[in-house]
Amino acid sequence: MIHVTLPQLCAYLDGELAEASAELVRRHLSECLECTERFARLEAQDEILIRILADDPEEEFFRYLSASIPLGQPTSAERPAPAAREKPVPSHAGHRTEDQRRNRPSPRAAWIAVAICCIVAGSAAWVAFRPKEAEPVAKPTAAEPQNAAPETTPRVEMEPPPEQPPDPLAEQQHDPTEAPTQEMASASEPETAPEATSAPTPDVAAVSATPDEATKQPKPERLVERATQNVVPVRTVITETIVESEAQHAAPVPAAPPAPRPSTAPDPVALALRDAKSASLEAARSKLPASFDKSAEAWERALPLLENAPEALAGGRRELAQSRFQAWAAEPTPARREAAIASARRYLLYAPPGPDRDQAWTWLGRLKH
Amino acid sequence: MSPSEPRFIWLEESEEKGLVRSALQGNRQAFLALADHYLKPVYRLAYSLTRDRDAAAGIAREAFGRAWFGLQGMPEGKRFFPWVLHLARNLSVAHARRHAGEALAIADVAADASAEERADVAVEQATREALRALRPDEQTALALRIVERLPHEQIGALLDQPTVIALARLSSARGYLLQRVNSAIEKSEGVA
Repeated sequence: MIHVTLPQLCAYLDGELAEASAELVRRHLSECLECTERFARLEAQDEILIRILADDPEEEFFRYLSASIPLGQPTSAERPAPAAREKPVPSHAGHRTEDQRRNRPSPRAAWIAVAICCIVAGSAAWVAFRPKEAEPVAKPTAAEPQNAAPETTPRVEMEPPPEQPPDPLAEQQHDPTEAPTQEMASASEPETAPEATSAPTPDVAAVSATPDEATKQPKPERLVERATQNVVPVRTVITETIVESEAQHAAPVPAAPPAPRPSTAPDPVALALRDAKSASLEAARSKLPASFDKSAEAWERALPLLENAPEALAGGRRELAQSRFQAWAAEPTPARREAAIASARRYLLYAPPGPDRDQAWTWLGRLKH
Repeated sequence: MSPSEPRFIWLEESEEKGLVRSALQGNRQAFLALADHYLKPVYRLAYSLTRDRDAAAGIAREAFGRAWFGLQGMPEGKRFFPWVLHLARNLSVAHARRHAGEALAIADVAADASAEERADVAVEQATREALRALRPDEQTALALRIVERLPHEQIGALLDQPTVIALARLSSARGYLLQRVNSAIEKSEGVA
């Protein structure tokens, strides 16, 4: 018997034979078991090849791909591109668009931003801790005049309120009915206002004239009244505000009522998934091997909880395999290699055909190489 | 679209020529219209030759980028798609050569896998390994037939060869794959 040749079988399989030739092949296949089996194997092989060779991403992937074709800078004479091209589409395959690359800050700019943040944070810390640092300086010495306002005023600030017994004399000197009247009178005259801000007012001098008097604690109510009247010199306002603040610190603060708790306990599956996804995101952002390790560990913790969610389980296996592989790729060690191979095998065992499965084969190939 | 119909449609020749002429004068939108139409088959060919989605996307992008900057060098009278497909094919072959050392490992499946799963994995592995041993023209012909479902005549036109050569490439590729896979299965059955 003359068998059908392989090119004839292929042409028949592809529907490329003329009708007369196709009829001859069809007749032969009905009679020859060997050629029929061969033809069946060819058909089955085409099915496998479709799985291996075909990849059909979604439209968004092609939009991104089209927008990222490097065509150089547009000239002014050209018509502006449609908005869809200008808008960076989220990456599907881990690529950045040209626009994303252009918008990425340079390392130098990042360092400048970090330096500015450090300066701002340092300034804030210095301002916050300045009174405590100024305490030794504020202590009066024998050479210093007792009534020097700039040195004595901080001392008033640093005195803790509970240690200051109320002094009736001080209360008389700081009569709440007098001081505002005087200050209002000075504030009503524009010429005297600069003097009030540059030199201590009689009221402040009375507070800080002597160490004994300096320890007198003004009442917060009076200070608030001054501040609202907007006639107290700036320095005095700052000083008394700090005193008030310290008094608040010293006073026992009633505990805040506990925040209402949700009545239902959080779903452990959702929590584990959330943690694992955030770990994956962090790893993708930092690209550090330790981050990939953490991501893989998070997915390993999450996988046992996903037994009842097949889709999430499949995705989790893939994320685990990917994290293990990326950790190994970032910093190859024997332990990472073994873990990556194990997770890739585990994923391949259950993975459906498709690009993800192909990608896992590629990982396994690199790991075994 | 039926399973036997080609997956992409050629642009009308006159329309394509007009777009190419306009792109040659620097019209970016005309070139992007060409790219939008042919991007998918170019990507699919690159994927079938590399089996790597990231690499295929990069190759498709680079092929169209090169086409844009080298449009002046496109042969006179040649269609745009075969030309850009040829660029993508060459880039894919170069990529495959660069990664030729990264051979696929022998896949050993988990201990609790069934015999059927083991056989499937073995066949798939053997097919993947055999694909890497095919000549570039054979791989391209196979991809254009299996993925794009193109008739032999169009495959020959895209490969710049007669139709009968396209059929020869296809049959030799299929025969080689069949032989390799069969021997792999026999080997695995012998081991078992």
